[in-house]
Amino acid sequence: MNCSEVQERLSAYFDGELADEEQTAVAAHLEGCSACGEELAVFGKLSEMSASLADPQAPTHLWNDLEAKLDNDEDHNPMPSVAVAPPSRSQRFPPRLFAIAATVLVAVGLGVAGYKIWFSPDEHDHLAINFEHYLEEFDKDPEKAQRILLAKYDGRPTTVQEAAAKLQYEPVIAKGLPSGCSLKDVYLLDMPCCTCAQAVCRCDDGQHIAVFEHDLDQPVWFGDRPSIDCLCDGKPTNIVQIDDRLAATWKQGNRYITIIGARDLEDVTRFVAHLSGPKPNG
Amino acid sequence: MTSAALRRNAPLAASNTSRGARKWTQMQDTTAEIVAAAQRGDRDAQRELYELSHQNVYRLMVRMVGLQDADDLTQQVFLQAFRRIDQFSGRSQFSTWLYRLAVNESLQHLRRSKRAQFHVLEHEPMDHSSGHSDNVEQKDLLERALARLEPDLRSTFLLREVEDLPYGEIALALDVPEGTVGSRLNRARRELKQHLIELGWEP
Repeated sequence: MNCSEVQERLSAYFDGELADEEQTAVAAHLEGCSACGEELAVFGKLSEMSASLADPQAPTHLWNDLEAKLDNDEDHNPMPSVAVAPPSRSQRFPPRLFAIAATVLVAVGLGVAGYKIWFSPDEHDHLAINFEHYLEEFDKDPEKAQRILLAKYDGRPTTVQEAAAKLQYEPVIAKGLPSGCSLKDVYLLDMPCCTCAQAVCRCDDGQHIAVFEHDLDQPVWFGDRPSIDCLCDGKPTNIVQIDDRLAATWKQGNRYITIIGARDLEDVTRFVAHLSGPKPNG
Repeated sequence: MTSAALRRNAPLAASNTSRGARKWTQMQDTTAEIVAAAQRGDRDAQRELYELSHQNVYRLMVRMVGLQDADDLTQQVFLQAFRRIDQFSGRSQFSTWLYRLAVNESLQHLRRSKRAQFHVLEHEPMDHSSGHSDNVEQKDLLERALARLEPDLRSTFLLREVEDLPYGEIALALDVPEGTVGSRLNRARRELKQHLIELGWEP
């Protein structure tokens, strides 16, 4: 082995992570190479220094604070208001829920992918974690979920017109919303994949629904939740169940639309029909 | 010269008796029953998991994001862990899963706050209470040098040298191939040496 090959393996050698043969070959090289030997000695010193680092102690109140939040989770996660038991996570995709109106709130957001930049595995992980957090809160408290999303992705208020100018195409939300729903807020979010415009809308019955418009399909948002494909208003649509609500994604032109927070398939179909239909006059 | 053989026989954990918290090797003993009970929402089991592992998470957080934010983020990691514990499949160690949440949370925080990583611990020396002054000085130098490392390198180094994880577990915690763990450690150690020298350290 030459110096370069040894240098590549030096940490693995130092940490005892090489296969025996390689370990022996590196050791043989080190016998006669002072440069590599000195490098290894530095690794050893760093390790000794690391062993002497302080062990900062977590404050004792942390558990109490945590427990209060966990209790709060339970308080805010009561039995659903419809006569359906909450699905367990392992079987939370009973088809009958598609047809059952769930609880009161649904949230609407409109996200528009601005830049076609894909992201690293770490970012992929973060996105999965952040959306998991968002979706979990969404079911309990849509407004809190919204705050989480804004905090995670540097959300700032905007308008549909500003979003269109920024993204250089007119987002589907410009078509307006199905009857009975109105636009509440629009935000721009810096997501790992893109800059998103998000519109939060409220329906007459107090529901919120979220619609994201993005360049790439984003199954990562929904983790390992089960999903099905179906036709809604003639569009192939992927449906994911999130607790008592549904998320739906369909392709429109060269982008994807995702809505989050629909109560049932009827809701989804209404949105698909409206957002993929012709733009109303005016 | 520190030989790999010596290191394998005398791992960091064994020589570091002053460190109060459990290391990865001890955390592995966390039984499946505790996790299973926590998955059923048993608060005592959650508490037990917290007691077993919170120092590990906190210690990592302090060096990833700084003392100021370590409390909040540690709490956030455990909130996430208990909210999502039914997604823990047992494919990795529970501790590894927790480290993964912790690293992701810290990286997310760093990106969110757009903080330059070298500001994190520059002015937050953590221990002047004991030891020879040389030793204290070296510790402080290392803290400062660590704070200058890129977060990805820092997390890899900390998981190896402070948390004592083997490469396979680091790879799972960081979701990278094992080979990447080795190359990141090479870079981390070389850059640390460089930063230390800039800070006045003499190897």
